Amino acid sequence: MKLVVVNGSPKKSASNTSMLLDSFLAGFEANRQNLVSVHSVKDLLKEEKLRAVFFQADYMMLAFPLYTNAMNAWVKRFIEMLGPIARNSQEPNPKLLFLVQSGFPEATHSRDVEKYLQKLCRRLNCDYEGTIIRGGIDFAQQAFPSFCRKGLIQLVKNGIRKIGKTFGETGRLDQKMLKRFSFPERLPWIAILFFHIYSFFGVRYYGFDAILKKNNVFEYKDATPYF
Amino acid sequence: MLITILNGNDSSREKGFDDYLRRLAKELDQFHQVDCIHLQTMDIKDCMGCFGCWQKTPGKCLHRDDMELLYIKYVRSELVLFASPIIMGFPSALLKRSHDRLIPLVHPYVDIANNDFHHMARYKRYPNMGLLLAKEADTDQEDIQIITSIYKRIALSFNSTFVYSAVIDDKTPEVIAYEIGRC
Repeated sequence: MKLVVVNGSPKKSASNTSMLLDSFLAGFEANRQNLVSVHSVKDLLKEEKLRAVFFQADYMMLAFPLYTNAMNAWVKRFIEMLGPIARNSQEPNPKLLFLVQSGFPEATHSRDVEKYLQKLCRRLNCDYEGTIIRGGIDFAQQAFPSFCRKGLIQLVKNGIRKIGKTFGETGRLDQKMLKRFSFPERLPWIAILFFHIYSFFGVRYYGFDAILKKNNVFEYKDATPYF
Repeated sequence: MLITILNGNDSSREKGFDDYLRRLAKELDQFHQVDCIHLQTMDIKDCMGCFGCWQKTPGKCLHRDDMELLYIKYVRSELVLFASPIIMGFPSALLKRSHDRLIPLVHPYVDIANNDFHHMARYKRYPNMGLLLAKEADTDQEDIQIITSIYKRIALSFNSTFVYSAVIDDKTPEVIAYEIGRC
């Protein structure tokens, strides 16, 4: 099976989206008959190139970080360009799958855009294979000490690698695995309780305060330059 | 009321959309102070996700472009209307680019609202938000619901209240101006 991956992160290889993609693809490529090509969304904003890449795929995976509750403007531009190509095609279109990565841990932040992506597939005359949702990687990097952080990120990598492996073997995203992988859907009450306790002691500011101090700008942390 | 309309129409074929907003601005201008900004005429770069506005220059984007003017207008407004034709089921990439660039206006620190994480406010007050859409040929009620849901979340993320949404194909500028005046 031939999979074309479009990486919608403007940060390319230095991003959390790329990290998740690498693990997914490691699982997918465990089946040696599978072929993958990975493209940055910025490189596909030319119609001829996008057309060539789109029609060579059995599956196309669009991966992006959630920016202000939806796809970022790069990805939206890509979708606007893909629209006429997919809708007017005489050939069968590839099946589409998505990866949405968000800063906050709860999957609920990404559910509206998931609905949009599902509808988009109908609009593009493409079969919808599903959306992998994972939040909280940025959050883990800011809120947890390094020994916890490494373990948590490894768990996430292992989870998406398994999803990629199953997809590489069956050509389907396993819905049960997707649901488990996107946990938590909402913040559990215990997390809310701990958050309020941390807030009381000022601990919730710890991660960003440390970065601001390191960058010698801590005194400007509450700046309101545009008012 | 100080109202800013952000026109995200990026297609010269949709000239009717710009004309509609001009008529709407004229109507609103009778009772409010209105600024209608056509984003296509501005130099606004894409957000690079660098988090410089949170980590290196708190509250300030590292890009030097026309967005600086928009930030000032945004925080001083009482209502910001996001306006765009729907393209592939969602407002334009041009309008989305301006949303992506709004993150310097909030803190990196998090808080809980409606039992979900959100960013803490950086400014004492934020404008209310509204949405003006123009349908494309295959737009249906489900599309409008999805877009509105996402914009309600955007409003929550920016410590704003989502107060208005309308599809301009269904209403005259006079009706929309009247409804906005009642918000």
